[in-house]
Amino acid sequence: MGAEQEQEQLEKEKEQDEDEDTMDRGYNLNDNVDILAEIMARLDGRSLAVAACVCRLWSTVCKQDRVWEALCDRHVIGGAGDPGTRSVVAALGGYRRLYRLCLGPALDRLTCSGETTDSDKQGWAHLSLSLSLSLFSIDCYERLEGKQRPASLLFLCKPVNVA
Amino acid sequence: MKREYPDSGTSSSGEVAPKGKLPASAPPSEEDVDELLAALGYKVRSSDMADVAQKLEQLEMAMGMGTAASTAPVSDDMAFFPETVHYNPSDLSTWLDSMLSELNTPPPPLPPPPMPPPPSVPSFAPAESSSVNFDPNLISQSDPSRERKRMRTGSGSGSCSSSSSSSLGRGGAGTTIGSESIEPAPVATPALPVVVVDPQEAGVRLVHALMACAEAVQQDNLKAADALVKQISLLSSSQGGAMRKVATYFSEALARRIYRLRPPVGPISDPSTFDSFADLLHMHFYETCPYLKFAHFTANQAILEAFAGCKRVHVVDFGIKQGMQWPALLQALALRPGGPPSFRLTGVGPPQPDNSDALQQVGLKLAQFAHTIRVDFKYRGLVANSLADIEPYMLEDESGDGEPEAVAINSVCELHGLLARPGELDKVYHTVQKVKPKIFTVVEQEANHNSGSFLDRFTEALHYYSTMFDSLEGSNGSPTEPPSPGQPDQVMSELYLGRQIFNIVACEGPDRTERHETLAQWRRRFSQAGFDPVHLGSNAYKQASTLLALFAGGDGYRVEEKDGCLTLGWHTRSLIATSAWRVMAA
Repeated sequence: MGAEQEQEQLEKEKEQDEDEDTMDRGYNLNDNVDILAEIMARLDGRSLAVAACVCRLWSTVCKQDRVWEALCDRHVIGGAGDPGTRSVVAALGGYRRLYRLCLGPALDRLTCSGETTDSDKQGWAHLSLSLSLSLFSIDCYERLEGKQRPASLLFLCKPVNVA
Repeated sequence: MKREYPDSGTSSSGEVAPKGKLPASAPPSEEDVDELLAALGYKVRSSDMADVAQKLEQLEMAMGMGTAASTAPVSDDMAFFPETVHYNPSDLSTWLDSMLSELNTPPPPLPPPPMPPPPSVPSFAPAESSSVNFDPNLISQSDPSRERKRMRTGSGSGSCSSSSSSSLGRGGAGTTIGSESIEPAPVATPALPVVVVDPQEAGVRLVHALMACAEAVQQDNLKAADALVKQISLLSSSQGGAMRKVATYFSEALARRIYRLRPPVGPISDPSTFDSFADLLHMHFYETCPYLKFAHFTANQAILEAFAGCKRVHVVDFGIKQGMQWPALLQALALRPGGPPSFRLTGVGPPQPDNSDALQQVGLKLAQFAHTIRVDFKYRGLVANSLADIEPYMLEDESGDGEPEAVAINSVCELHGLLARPGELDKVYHTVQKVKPKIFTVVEQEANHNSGSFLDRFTEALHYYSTMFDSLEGSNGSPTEPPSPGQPDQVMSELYLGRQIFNIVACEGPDRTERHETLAQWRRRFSQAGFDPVHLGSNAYKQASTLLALFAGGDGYRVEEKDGCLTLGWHTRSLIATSAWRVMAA
């Protein structure tokens, strides 16, 4: 008897909660981190960086390397997906670093030097995997020495004359 | 030409001609002062315009041909005309008379008095061209005077337009020279850009002076050469940008040759700092411009393709320096299908004067890197004064177990130094043949700086380094930008090239190690020595093109494929070439 009553009471409370839920909150993305990560994986670099500033949860999700891996894979031609690549990139510093130091500036430069500054033009800019990783590895090598200013990738960041 | 148009008062070809507007603007009369010049602070009677123009031309010629008494900057101008007392410089006519009266004492070459273009130039241009028959030269100058046409000498063309745009754009810097040189001639409106001297004319004169000086040196006419060198340094101060820097380096190199200052004195030549400084400059050159990166990437691609399927590989680097070429190759080998091979590297380097083991340090760094990406790595450093000292046994595989090694030999700008001493290149060829590499990648400058005649070498070098300096300017954005953090890099890179210039021009015999030769010449040498060319594939070409697109100013760089070799150049001029060779099948 007691158990039934308890169960009834529980169900009632649950119903009340659910009513409250559907009335107040609805479905919250932040409860489903996996889906959040999936969405983040489809963003471009800038949006991803902006998203990382929204709140702590989003920042944690956006810092995951697999999100940046998905981004890099989209802009790189070559066997980006295979596990061998993944381990090498991880050893060199990770995809997020690869994008920040090398792929991002390079893509900016490539789209900048093209005539249009269309934002979706960037979706079409490509770099070969070997080139981007080569540049990344040179930078990683320079940092091994503990250099204050590893400079081999600076050429990507210098202001472009857009006159 | 001036006689025919007394009213328009066309000036010499060296000046901007504001006076052509006269017929359209004010009716000439005895007392009438030219309005346009008056707005600038000069009082010149319209009727005197032709005479004034002629005197200006005479003055300019006298200055241009005079031998310089000193190479002091032109700010100390009043000392050059000590006898003359100037009154009322805005009365241009009398001022010119007094200047010309000093023609007996050879006046030092000063830039001609600044003639600021009147602001109304563009609007009057159409009237100008219709009223009188100007020669095209003049039209091109008074018509948007802000944009200068390219220099007539081919190689300097790029540099002149960039230098002239820099001298106009950097109006402030340009004005200081102008205003300092002729102090008594005030510019009424300081905001107007002052064109000191027509860069086009001065540029042509500069090149002629350089050539004349080189010719004098070749004929051993050292007095004339000396005089010309001083003139060059003054002329080059009127230029801007790349042309000025090139001229400065070449004139200093000529001066060193004339005064027999070999090896060059200064901190650069100090033996104890020589090599570390050279390495530093090399690193800055590597970072600033794409030539070395291009070389490394294309050579690595060729080596990677040659090593396909090999389980044990050995790379010999004839000039390892900082080892910047190898991380990329190690990474590529780590990613190749089938996994990385076991990798051995032999790095050759010169002996270090301070007994530090630079080769070993490079090896340690590379080993650390290889460890990170899990490639089996072994390193050996070879210290050698010259590549000819290397014997085949030094490159042998000591472990000698199991599978034979696949060997690749790599030389980036190291072979031309061997031409300084007879027989050394042949010895190296012999050694390479003995080692039997799968591939021998060679990168060399694409220029002929090794001909017997000094004048030919000089001319070639002038064209080559002008283009190089142009590309450095071009890749660092427009000159009107504020100095970016990359500026010191550019200066270091220029110094790196400058040392090559000093070597080519000022040294002779075994000291002259920068004996660049063209791709065609190297091809002949390699064929005679028993090597077959290996074609660099389209992969290398594509990689190189993308790499260059990443460099600022990337549209100036050109990758070209020539018979299986790749060259990188600036606009139409190839500057560096990568080729690959293998030993001819017996």
